Amino acid sequence: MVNEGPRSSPAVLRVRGLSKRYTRGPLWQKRASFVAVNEVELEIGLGETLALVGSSGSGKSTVARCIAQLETLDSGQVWIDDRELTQLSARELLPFRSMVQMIFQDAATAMNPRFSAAEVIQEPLRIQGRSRSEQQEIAEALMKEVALSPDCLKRSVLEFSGGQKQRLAIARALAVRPRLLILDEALSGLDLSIRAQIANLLLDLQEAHSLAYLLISHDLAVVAGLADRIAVMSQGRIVEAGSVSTVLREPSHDETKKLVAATREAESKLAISAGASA
Amino acid sequence: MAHCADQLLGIHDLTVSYTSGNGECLRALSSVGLELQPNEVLGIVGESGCGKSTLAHAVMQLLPASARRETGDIRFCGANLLSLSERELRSIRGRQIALVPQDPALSLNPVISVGTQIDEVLKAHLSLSSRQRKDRVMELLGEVGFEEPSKIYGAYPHQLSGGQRQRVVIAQAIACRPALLIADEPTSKLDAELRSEMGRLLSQLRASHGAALIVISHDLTVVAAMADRVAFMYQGSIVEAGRREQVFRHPTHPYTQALLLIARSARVDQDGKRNRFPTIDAEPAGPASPVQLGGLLEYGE
Repeated sequence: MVNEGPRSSPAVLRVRGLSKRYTRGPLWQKRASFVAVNEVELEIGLGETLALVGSSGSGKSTVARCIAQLETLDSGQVWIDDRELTQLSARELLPFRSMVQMIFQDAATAMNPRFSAAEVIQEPLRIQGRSRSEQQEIAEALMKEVALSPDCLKRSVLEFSGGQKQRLAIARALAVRPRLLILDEALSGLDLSIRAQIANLLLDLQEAHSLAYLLISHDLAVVAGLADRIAVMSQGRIVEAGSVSTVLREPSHDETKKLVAATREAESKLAISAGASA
Repeated sequence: MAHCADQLLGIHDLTVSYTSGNGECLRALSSVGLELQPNEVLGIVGESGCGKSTLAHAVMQLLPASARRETGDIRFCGANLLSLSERELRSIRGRQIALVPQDPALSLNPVISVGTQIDEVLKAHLSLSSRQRKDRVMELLGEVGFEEPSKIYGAYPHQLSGGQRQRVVIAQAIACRPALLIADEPTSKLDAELRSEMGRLLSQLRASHGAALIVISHDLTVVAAMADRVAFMYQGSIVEAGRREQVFRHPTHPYTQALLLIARSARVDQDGKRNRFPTIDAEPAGPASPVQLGGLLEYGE
């Protein structure tokens, strides 16, 4: 589904000096400027998963939206393969939009509730001008790929359960043959057993298509099982980055230490030690 | 009134079903029984559709009109909640049994200041002067961890963060010093760090007020951190219950075993990217699935 073989340039995504400010406050007062993302740099290679972690409000989702060109950057560059995106016109950007696809936490709100599964998957294909039969064929193949029955294509999205909606969202994203999937808390809020199934699906798809993943999550335990590398954000900056095992085993920044400690605390309760009482 | 000798809450053989739009009858709870002593923390674990929220709403007697109780009774301090009048129930809800709702953003009124919303609870249940109530609200805001209660009193929900809103609904719940708190997914909208902070706050308030707590969650870590006893629900039934250490160490039901295995498989300490996560073969969705899914089955799982 993605271009064949390993590429000469290793990085699918490169972000350099990304900064984003928002203004906030009431319209009738002098509005304060607020730096959401500050000089962020990151790289993701073919078939690689980079996890972006941090507490609420640390700027993770803003980074994602800037990479997907859903926000205009205040400064910095976003490279997909060898093209820099921030200077492109809306028309020039079009082919690159399909290369970066986002999956959100709440699949239900990301899909038109009046659509059938087929319409959800085929809409981007229709926009790309594919023929009816091609659309149909691709939609069926994608349903199989995300382990949903192609017989369900005619069903309304409302008839799918939470985990199935997330599968459908993944199928829709894959329809345009992306190189990078941004998973913005895509595994949060799912039941444990469903979360494990979707995580497995993501691992399989990555292997099959050499997809690059940017995994945004506050759940370090999931990150540890899905990611190759990890970048920790705090107050708009990346404060620590490295391989998953290094960062999680020997966290050096206070923010990372705090996150790891919180997760470990929860884990130790789960592992259960005698005499512990709430 | 809230002082009951031994059993605070007793649910016996409770069966509840819903009638769906097309007249189909769906069983949400089948023959559920559980007991709670004063001052005890019970964790109810289960995945979407297993009936855990129906159980919480049944105890609060807040089931929707489409729900029907087929069998069973619910006793609170010896009184059968099912035989009480609406008026009597109202004097219990919020005063003796209080619910910490799942989504504070949805349960708070967006156009009323949070102080006033906490005040409403006191006004409904206690005969205090407005002056006394205001002092009490300030005290409650302090108790749930706000350093400057006077600044929060006049704030509107949208001006607060998710964690702050969570503190406000906890303040509402403990306002009348209830004997029983029911927390339905109290932390599902929060990040990992806030989750453990809120868990600690809830545990600590519960202990200092001497209230019993039922904490309902699909997140095993939340329950593990708080509960003395746990009950695992699957498709409307309690499949396993017991002391937390006992159940966590020696789970006997296959569902409990599988859920614990999955929960423990995601660990900070694992060696980087793994091959696959363990999963459960059975469809975890409960009684609601025939309607929700319209007969749709997971394919090739």
